[in-house]
Amino acid sequence: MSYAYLFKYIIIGDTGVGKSCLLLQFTDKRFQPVHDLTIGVEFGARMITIDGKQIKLQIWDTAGQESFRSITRSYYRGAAGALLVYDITRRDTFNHLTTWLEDARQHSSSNMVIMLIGNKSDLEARRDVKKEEGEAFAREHGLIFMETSAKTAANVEEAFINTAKEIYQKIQDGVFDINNEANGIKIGPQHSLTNPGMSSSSGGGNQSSGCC
Amino acid sequence: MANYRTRLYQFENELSRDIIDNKRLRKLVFSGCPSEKSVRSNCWKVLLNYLPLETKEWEESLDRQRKAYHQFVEEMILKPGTKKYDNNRTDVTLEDHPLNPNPDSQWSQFFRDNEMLLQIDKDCRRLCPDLSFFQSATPYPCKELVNSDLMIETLRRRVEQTVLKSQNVCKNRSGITITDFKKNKKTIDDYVVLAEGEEAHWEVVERILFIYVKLNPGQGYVQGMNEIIGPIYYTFASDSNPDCQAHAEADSFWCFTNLMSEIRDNFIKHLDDTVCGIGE
Repeated sequence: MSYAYLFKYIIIGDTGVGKSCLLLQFTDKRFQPVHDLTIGVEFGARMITIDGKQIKLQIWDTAGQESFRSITRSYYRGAAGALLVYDITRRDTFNHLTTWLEDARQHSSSNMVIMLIGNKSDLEARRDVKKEEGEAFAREHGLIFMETSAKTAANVEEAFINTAKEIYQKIQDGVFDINNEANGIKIGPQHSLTNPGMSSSSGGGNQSSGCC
Repeated sequence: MANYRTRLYQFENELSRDIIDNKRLRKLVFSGCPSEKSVRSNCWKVLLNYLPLETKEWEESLDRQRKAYHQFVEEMILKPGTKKYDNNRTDVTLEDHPLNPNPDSQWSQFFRDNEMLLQIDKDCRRLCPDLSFFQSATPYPCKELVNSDLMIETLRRRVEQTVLKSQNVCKNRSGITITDFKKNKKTIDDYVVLAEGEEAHWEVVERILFIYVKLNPGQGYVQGMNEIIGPIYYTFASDSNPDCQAHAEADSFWCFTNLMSEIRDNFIKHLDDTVCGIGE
């Protein structure tokens, strides 16, 4: 399938905050209440449309456990966006954000767009971290912020798409050097002149979900 | 020869600084890297971001990462392997058994792993066939695995069993019910490579790849990875320094992991036939 850009994402955060469930909700539109513990790094992909352009998201879903940290680090490089996830019902997952952020900043390209996500917003009764706290943390560290629920799908689309919008805007502003693949962005076949045969199919279906 | 000595000296000089100048090292390496005095091994480790530029931190960094790798071996191979022998009877319970169709079944995971392992096995057996090195025994095998007292199921044993199983299926299909002993015998012979307690270098590479794939399930194993890791492992395992040899397995694993982070897109099946992957 033809697309204008490919963005690489990485999802990070403590174990059990719902990283894999967010990805599953975004790619498959379903929720799995009991998800297997992620070992190492899993993969997901989906096509989205921004500004009338097809953008393919290639998403790496990492294990939150400390013992896999050295493996997940090798995926920061070449990521254009990161979803940093915590669980609004567990304060410790919020307290660890600084460590995650340091890790991400140290191992990624400096232009990486980071979206802070407070997940499990459906569990309002068990809330342990106020929305304002998440907002304040995001403001302080220059992140975008959203509360989501992988269970009800609330804000899940928005979280992934808004991150892409931010990256797209940075490309328009010339912040990202799209020819440098270490930035996690690749230009699709529509944009390269050496592929005349591909352009005819670009006006086709405008599906929001279409995995590779 | 004098030229070579000067070059060697330049390398040694660069590698013994408190903080290595990455640019200068790259320039030096660009026109070839001597294998003498661990120069090549160390240069590769630095350039693949396995060793930090601060030489004082080398020891601590190596120790930490080698331990981490060993922990992976323990979790991915030793522990599951031991369980099978210990709980031989309790393993096949009503909840989980080899024919369990549930995708969460431990058995179905086991069979999926075996499929992947068979592919890795095929590729590692014929790794760099022009070198006898990979067929020879390593002086530093995984101690826990070759120590037969523990009866841990090694990857080699797993492959042997899987191969035998798939032959049985073939026979059923062609309708022959009598077991062809000759054919079976031959297969077993083919797979007895070294004496008990020994491990060939290709088996070490196989273990590295198996663990890599277990830890990077989103990526999976793709043919050609063996060709990438082969030279790395060869360089470390044939180094003159015994310490480098002894830890060639763990060091190669991390160097390979770091290298893959740069060239990953060529090895993602989902990306085949797109501009990003192979086949476009």
